[in-house]
Amino acid sequence: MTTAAERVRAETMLFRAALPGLLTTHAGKWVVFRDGHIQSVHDDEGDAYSAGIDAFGVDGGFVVAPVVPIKPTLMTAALAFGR
Amino acid sequence: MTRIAHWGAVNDPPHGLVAIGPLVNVRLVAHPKHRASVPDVGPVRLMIDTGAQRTLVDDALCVKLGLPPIRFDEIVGVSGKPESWPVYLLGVRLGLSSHPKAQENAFAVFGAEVIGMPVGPHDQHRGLLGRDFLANFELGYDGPNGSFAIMVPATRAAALAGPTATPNRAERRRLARQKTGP
Repeated sequence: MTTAAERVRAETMLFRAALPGLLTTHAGKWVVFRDGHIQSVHDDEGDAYSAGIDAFGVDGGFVVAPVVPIKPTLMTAALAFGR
Repeated sequence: MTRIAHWGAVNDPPHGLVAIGPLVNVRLVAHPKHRASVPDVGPVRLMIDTGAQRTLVDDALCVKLGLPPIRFDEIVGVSGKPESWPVYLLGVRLGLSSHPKAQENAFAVFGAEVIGMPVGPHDQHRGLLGRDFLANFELGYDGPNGSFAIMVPATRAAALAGPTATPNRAERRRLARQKTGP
């Protein structure tokens, strides 16, 4: 059985694949993404989360993400040293 | 302007704070926008880390809360390579006191993105409060006296966290036992 977390992981991959196109149409917005498509667009992360729960339920496997370029984040600044 | 604060101290000053770091006990709860009631998890001891851009918590604790992640983000951890880790949208419940000598007498829940990652084999803390969480606060660090404070103007706390709750008697007893720092 697919868990909600596994579905979110799969939807995240679809979101990343769609991101270049989304950046041309929804840059800077928060989106609810599911089934490979944007389901709703919001100005605020909390509003997007509420909309996702209302539409699909808390375990509905939806992604809430900002439409911004993906940049890997250092867990902590110390990791930039010692290599 | 009235400020509310979470105040902590580590004995013995000044070396205790150097050796152990500024540790904060929080409880993980559902995000204020979640609306449904979810049993909270905690206390969870986190270290304030101004070197961390994001807030990280032991993924086992995030899973225990029973809420799925909202997405996966690329984080560079000890492997030195970007890896996908789950991002949870949670509430971080922080005890607040208006005076360093006072016991915690209130708390507020702040919505926060929390990255779930496994924690190494140590028991000092179960995650990092990063700059994304600290963006809501003023941070006071008193090295010589081994103390620190996370402060926010009361009006801003209400806007950030919704109404600041004053706990009932049982909650006051629990919070009194749950002192900040070791």
